[in-house]
Amino acid sequence: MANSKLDLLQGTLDLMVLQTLATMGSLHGYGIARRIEQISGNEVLLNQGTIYASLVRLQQRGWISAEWGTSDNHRKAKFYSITKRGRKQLSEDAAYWQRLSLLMNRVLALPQGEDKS
Amino acid sequence: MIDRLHQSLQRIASFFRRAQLDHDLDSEMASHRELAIEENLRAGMPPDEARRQALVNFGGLEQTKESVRDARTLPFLETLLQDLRYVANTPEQYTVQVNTGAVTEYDVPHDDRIKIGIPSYRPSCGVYLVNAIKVRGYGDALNGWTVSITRDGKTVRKQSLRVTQKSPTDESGYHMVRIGQ
Repeated sequence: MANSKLDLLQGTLDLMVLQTLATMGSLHGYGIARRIEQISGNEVLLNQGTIYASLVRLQQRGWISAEWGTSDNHRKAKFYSITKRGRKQLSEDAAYWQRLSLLMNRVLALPQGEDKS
Repeated sequence: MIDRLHQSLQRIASFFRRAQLDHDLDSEMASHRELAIEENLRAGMPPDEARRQALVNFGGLEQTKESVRDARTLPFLETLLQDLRYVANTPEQYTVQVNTGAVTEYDVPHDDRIKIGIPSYRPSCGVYLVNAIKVRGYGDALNGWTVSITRDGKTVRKQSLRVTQKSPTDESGYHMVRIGQ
């Protein structure tokens, strides 16, 4: 269990993508997937293909935009950028996850009672 | 609220641009694979391993396309469209099996004495039906058999056979048997 990779919780991939684009600037799908893998230190169970459904959701909400361009090694690729609305959403989502994370830390830090059975 | 409205409008617009968006997705996924392979090659992997590793890391191509389509457009409209395509009888979507009622159950192509046409979809009652079978050497013994119609690996209907009409034998010894429901 301790050695297995983490499954991403619902909604966390979208947040990771937004954060990656906010930090790194414009990136193609492969670049985003690789960046998330690198940041997670290989801890997250991520099929790189799952990025694309996330990118569609974020685009449809107007949180990211996309345009075709050319990669560093001269390949045609679609590049994604975070929009102003995306930055606002990222700020709200990040605050939410930080609060939730603090709460979970507090709950999990509670001492366990002795087993009386 | 505005984001949801934006998303709904985008989904409706996407529904009418499916072909273009599918083409874009194919290009994007191909580009992803090539970038991954190049990085693997730069990391010193042999070409075959670089390609294999890129495919493994990407995950299922069809699953990815499916999840993107689900996210992109309106699933109920997609399903309706698929059903309409089945009305036009898309043959490769189906597997049809005949169960003789005895111990033998076999895929139709394995028994050259039975030939089954493509099941037709009836939107009015939402079922798939087989209307006729060509058989050789079975005759009325077909009565009481069942036909299982499988779509994309899932059984969508089991249909009992009742012979209602039989044509004369053709030069190959087959009868066309019309069957009731």
